[in-house]
Amino acid sequence: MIDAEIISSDTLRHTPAGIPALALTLKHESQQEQAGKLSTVQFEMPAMAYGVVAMELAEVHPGERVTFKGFMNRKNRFSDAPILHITEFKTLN
Amino acid sequence: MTPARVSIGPVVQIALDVPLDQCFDFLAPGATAQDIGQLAVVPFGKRKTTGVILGVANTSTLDPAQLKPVDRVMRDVPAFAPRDLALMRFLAGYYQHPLGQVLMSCLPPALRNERAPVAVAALVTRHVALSPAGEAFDAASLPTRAIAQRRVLQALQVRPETRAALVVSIPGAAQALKALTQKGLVKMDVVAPTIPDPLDAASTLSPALIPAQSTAVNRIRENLDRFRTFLLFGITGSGKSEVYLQSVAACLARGRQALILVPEVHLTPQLAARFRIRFPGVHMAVLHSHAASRERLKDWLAAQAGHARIVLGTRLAVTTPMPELGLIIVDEEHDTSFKQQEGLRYSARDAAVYRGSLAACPVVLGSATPSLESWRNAQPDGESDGRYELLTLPERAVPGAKLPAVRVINSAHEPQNEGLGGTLIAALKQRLARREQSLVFINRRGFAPALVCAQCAWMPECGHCSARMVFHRGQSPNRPDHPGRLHCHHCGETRPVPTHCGDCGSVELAPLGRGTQRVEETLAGLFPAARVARLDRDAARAKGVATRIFAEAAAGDVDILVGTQMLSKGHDFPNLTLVGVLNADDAMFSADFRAPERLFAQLVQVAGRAGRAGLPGEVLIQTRFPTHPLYAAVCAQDYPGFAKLQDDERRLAGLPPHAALALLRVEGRKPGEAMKAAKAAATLARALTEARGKVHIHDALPAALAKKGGWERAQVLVQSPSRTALHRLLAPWRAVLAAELPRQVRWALDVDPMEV
Repeated sequence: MIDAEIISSDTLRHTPAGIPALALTLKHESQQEQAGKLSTVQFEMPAMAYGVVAMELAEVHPGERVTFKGFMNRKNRFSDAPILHITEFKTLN
Repeated sequence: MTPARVSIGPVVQIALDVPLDQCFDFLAPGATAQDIGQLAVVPFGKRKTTGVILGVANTSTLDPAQLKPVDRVMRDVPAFAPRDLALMRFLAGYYQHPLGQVLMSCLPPALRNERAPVAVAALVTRHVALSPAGEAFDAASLPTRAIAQRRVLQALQVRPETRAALVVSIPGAAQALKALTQKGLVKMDVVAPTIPDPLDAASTLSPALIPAQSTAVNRIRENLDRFRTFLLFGITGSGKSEVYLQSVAACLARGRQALILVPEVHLTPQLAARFRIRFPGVHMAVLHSHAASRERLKDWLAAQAGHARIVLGTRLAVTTPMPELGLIIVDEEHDTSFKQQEGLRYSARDAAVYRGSLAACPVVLGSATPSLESWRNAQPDGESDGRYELLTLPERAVPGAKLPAVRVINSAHEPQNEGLGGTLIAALKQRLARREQSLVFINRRGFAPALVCAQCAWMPECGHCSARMVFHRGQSPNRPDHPGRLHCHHCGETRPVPTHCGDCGSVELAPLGRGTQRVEETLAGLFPAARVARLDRDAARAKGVATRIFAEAAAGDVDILVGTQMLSKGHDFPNLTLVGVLNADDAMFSADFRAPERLFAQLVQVAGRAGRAGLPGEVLIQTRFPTHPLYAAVCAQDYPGFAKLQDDERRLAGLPPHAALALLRVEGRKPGEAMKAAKAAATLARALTEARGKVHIHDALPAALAKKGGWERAQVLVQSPSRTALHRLLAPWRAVLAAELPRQVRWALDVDPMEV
């Protein structure tokens, strides 16, 4: 589970089989305890969504804060860099 | 008692459409030698079948008690002439195919069954005219009761009529016609009485020839009454068609028929139109497999009766009976479609040459990139001694039109936008600005030749063939209900695109590589204002689409044409100045020894589409092997140089045209079965050749496509420097194969195979 802001999303595309697919970039900012003190955490990460989730996420405007649930996988067989696969989300505020 | 010695009345020997090299004897009371070549219906096993009478005798080697009578000799269907039968016998012997099957496959489908007489009768329009005696006859001298006869004669004095028209307008005309025919006053014929053409169409419309064209036409004209084979080697746009047209005119003027063979069904309407314009009063038959059955029968009958003076068609037209054949033309003679790949595996080009020798008429083989076999035959060196006469058209026929400038672009050195490099994109942009047309050639249909899993590299394969499935985009790719399908280009199987990887389950299946659909989409994205049209076998499947696209392109209503080799032949787009070639390298990886020859021909053909009408043309070939000698020859557009290189290589390797080949193709359902049978076949061939030598039997190998449509495929190649030695092996080999190979394997001998 992660709270983040969608900072950009590609246009909705479809896989060859016709499954909707959406690529997005998420930005996370929070305060986390580190060795007894609060520390500012911030990072950007790539994410993917497929199917109904992709269609719903395509309606969410960039800048909105959202809670995401999903799993991590490598980007593809040429890159081991991680990417978040979103399986559920909920807009905050 | 020996049955053969006793006369038992007429016995006919009939070739049937069965895979056996023999004729079957039937009793046929009343049959005479006149019936040879005639179709007959006979009982065969439990069914009835149709065959061709090849002989009439008074005895049979069979027990007369076992002989069955023929059901019917179809005398109302025209018979094969002896010269046609000779051609069929040659095809059967040379291509190792049962004669009965050759004969039946050469008939239009409507004549292959016992309903043939009905089909023929339905087509025949009987034309009625006065005979010379009838013209001199005074109708008033007929008995007063013969009202109908008098009215028929009066009608015919005005003008000839069809029988049907007379029967409708004059009561009792049918009886009257019978009586008048018996009196010799009218003649009934299947052909309309010829109305002489007031204008000598051929000479008034023919454009002036450039010197090379005149020389070619003159040489053909001088040889119209003897067998001679000409190789008309003319660069693209050099006006080969005009040479054909004027040679045909000369042939027609001598009162003989002309046969013109073309490679593609799609090209036939265009060439047919040119012939119709040039010879407006001449009856022309157009024969190809896409023609409706009735039309094909009608044209075939017209050719056989000698009414059709010009017969134009694809390879199947080569056997059309033509009693007054006086000239054969094979356009694009190098084209692989002239070789049939199933059943009777004949080469229509080679059959045409043989047919010319039977008919004692010239044969003209035309091409910008002749097959190496024909080129070799036209070399006046000691090896082939100029068996064919070479006629060369070295320049373009339109004044000022030059061959396009051909350039090779190293695609490894440029960033690619979906397979299109910067140089090509800039050139396309320039043509759009100048309102000129471009052609982007890619010899792959579909959207992408494969789908690949982004996570694990799994690719969907056809279960029945050893091949990947090709991804074809649907009509509206962004609608989830129309995503597209996977097609197998070998067996034709299609299935929905899988939603998930068959191995790791990921949904990211990505198109790999590109085909015409993808290039079309990319171009539409790059140039939103441009009118992009795609032409390949898929687009042309709907009737009339190909014709419409060609017409739109010719009218200037298309800016960029994307397509496969369908676009590369025989079309004249005056405003087309740029040709871009993608993925040419694919053909370089083929193991087939003719792959370079085919690639060269294809590139020269497609390059030849640019700059035909005076505007300078440019051709850009994208490749990762820019220094390959093949591309150097294409850039120089030097066919003779390329042919010399290939010919030398083939001589060293002992390959055609310096050797003769035959390929045994074996297919089996069960794993390993085909290979086992192929190995056995190779052993049998070796046993047959041991004593004779000169023929090399290669080891059995899996075919290039090891499995197709659920059949495993293996092959045995036999090779010999001597065609005669090779053919001495083939007939006995075929006989032992028929006896020895297990019944469940399918096999066929392919003589002079196109692909090995």
